[in-house]
Amino acid sequence: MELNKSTALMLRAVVMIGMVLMVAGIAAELLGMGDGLLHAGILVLILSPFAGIIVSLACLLKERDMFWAMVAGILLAITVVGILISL
Amino acid sequence: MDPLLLVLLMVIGLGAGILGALFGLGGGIIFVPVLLLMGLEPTEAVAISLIGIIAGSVGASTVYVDKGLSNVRLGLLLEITTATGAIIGAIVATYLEEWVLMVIFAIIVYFSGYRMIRSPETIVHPSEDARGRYAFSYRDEASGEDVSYELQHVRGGMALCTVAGMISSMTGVGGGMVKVPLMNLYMHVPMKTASATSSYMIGITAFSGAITYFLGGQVLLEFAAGIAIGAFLGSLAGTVVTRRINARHLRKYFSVVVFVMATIVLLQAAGVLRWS
Repeated sequence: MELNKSTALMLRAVVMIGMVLMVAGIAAELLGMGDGLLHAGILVLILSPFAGIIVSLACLLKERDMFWAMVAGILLAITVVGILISL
Repeated sequence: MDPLLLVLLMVIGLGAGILGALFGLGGGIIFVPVLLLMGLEPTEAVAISLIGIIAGSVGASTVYVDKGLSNVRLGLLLEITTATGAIIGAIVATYLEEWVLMVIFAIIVYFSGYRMIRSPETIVHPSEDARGRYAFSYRDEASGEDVSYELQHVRGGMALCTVAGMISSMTGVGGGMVKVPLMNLYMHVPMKTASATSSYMIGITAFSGAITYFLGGQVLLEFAAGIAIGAFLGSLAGTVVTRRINARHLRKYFSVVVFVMATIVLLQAAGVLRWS
């Protein structure tokens, strides 16, 4: 369960930061203070699933669950390659 | 931005978030048409939709992954071939007619929805001495029981996810409608875990596309934030229902929802429904 708890904790932390920044960003935007916070909030939200995979990989390595660590590692690599291809 | 429009976007996100968390669907099929009807360009609509999907997926996963309903290992495994399929799909998309793919997609969804109504769920329980890498369990809060299961047809499931990823990236229609039945019917994953694992996976699938649009400056920030906040809250509400609902009912409702969605896809393919 360590894998699930740690991954969920990371997802929760990152998505909450993203949400707080987004809400503050909308308020700032309505007050005419620019869209910097909104930009940051959306970027943090987008990155949250990726952050989840990194924590899962770290947990699996820590548990020496090598088969599943390899699975997480391959997925990270494919995700990065996919982004590089589409950029 | 008009505060009323912001509220409207949040409500749309909320509805899609609830649906997504309940059935493991992304909500793109709701987001994209609505945003196109609002006058947005297709690229803008898709970019915002992907961000909404991430918000709903991660929102639901904060609960599902924590409670062990999402099978993180299975999600990572199937995501490898889904992502590979998506890359292949993006490369070959230009050579194929989109409507043909949409019809194929709808037929697959109809067939799997029908199978889910007709055939009862079969779970393969791991044998007593099984310590295999594909044996898992989760606690069903509705029945109060621990459900143990062993994945079946792992290689076949991975291969089919490649096809699901290809079709998704070529048609823009989400993979949840295909992946949930695939896990439940073919790999014998219990329905609640199948939909919760799909919820977890769709955020990862959407990530690559979303970051590309974001870096390309194609995201309308206020629209995306409105949809994302709504989807996040909706997904949390959806998880409350999923945890309490009977898995058999969830399976039946899923079939009904995907029948409706596959029909929308068919009507789009036939040109009857046009959003812009």
